[in-house]
Amino acid sequence: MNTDSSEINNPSNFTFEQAEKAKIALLERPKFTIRLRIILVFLITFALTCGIIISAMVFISNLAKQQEFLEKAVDFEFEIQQARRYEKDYFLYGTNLYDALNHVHNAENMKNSLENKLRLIISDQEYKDLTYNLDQYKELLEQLQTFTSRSDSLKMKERISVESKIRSHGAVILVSASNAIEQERLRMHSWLNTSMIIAIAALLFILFIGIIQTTYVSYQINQSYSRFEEYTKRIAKGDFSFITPARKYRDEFTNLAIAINGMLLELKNREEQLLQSRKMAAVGTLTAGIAHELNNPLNNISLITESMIDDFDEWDKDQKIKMLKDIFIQVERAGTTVANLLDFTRRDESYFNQVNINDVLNKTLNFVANEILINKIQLQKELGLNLPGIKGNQHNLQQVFLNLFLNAIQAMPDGGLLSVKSYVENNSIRIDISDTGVGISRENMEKIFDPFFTTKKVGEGTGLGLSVSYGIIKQHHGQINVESKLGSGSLFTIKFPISMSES
Amino acid sequence: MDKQIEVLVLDDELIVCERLKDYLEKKEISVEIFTESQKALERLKEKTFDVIITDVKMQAPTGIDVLTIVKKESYKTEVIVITGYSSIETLRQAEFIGAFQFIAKPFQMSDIYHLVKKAAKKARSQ
Repeated sequence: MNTDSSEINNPSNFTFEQAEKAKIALLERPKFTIRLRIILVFLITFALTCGIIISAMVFISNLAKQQEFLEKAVDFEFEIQQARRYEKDYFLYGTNLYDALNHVHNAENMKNSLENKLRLIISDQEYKDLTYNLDQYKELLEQLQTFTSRSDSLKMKERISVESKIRSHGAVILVSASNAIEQERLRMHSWLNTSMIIAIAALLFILFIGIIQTTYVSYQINQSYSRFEEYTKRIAKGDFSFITPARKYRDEFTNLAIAINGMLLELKNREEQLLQSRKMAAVGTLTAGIAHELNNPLNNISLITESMIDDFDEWDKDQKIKMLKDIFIQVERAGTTVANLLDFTRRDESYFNQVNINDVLNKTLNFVANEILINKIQLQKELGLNLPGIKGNQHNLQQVFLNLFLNAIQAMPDGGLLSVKSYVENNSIRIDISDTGVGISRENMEKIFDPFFTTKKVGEGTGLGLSVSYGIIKQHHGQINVESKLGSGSLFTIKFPISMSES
Repeated sequence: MDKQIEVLVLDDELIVCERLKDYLEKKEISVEIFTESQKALERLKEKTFDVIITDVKMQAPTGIDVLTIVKKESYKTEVIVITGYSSIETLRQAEFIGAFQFIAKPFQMSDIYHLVKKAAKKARSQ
């Protein structure tokens, strides 16, 4: 019996440890849930919208200020126009000089209050000119007032020169006022146009950001969904390896992964039980062979002892010793049979170590040697020399081959040829097991690895042999394929990756 | 009994052959032993035995095959079938073909001796 020291590794504990490791790996990642992502996306969009609204408000208030300025500028122009109207009246009728001055004062006050804004619109020189002209205009009008209050004997010549000066200054003021208004209008227009473009651009930007973010989040969710879809397919096929982190961050799917790992642990336990019951069932099929294997040495011992009892005194010492040695050998033979049986039915499903596939094949063939014999089957063995090892569980592999051999034997009720080959092919070890039996029909071919599918009579087959084998092969990262032709036999091809630790 | 009883023992277990030969020869029975059925069948072509003791499970031809051939060729031979384990079907088959007696391993040689004598008597009476 193989009693490796590594056997201390309790199989169920080992599986449990793997599950724990997967759980820790899943949980130790930084948390970044989908909920958080959606909230983040919302916040970003909200902030952008806020920014746009605030700038729109700033823009509107600017516009209002410009509008206000424009109104004041128009008022200023109006004041100047009024002043000029009264100035004209004065020159024509000698009246309203006081009104003209009043309007000029108003205009001057307005100009002073708008000084800051005006300096932004018109150049310093223009502003200075405006101020100068306004001052001149005002002074000249005041001068006229003094003339008027002094006497009527104002010299005609002087009056004419003042009049022409007033007119030219007034004209200049009006031109620069309307100039400023015009410029401000243009500024407002261009401002409006730019803001319209900015508004449209902002809208497009938000749309763009929205599309990007939605695509990103939905991609993340969909990716996880399809990943889990793959997991369930894989699990359904019997590959019960635990889910390990696929992404950098922890999210809602992490809990799902942990839950599935919990389920996998349960499934593994059940599979272990199933495997055990399958082994027991296989042992049942082998009863004839085992009984034969045990009864033969027992019979031999019985015969030798019977002879010894009868002829004890007649035999010399050498003969007695030979007989006792024979008994000893027969006891060993029976012991080996029992040991093999126990070895095979032992539970240590999860433990993997370096395995020589030819050893496993030979051991399993010994098990079915009697079946092969009784069923008049010829055995053809071509096991490759010095095959590299694989990483595996000897007993589970034995179970796989036993299932395949028993199926092959049962497929050949009238005898035939069972061929077993092992060889290296592309970094893997390939095992071909072929029989010349009844073969598998095309419609059954797809179902042979399904649990509970059987072509045998009720009570003869559970339909679990190949499905369990498939699961074991998957656990070993191997592949199994079948080719078959009704009436001429089947070929099962199994491939296992070569273990790196031995190369 | 006038003539010595002649027995052929066929079993792939050498110990069975040797012990039976030893035991039966002491009882004045002539015994020939074979561990391969093919060789036994060749010998059977040359000589007619009174009794054949054969195991069932052997590399082909099996004990049942030997029984079938013997029963086809000679009425004067009885066959005792011994087996380590056999299904009911094999038992019935052996009985149908005409085995004299069926004996399960482990057996006692004294039982075999009595059976051989009975079988030989039957064989010679035919």
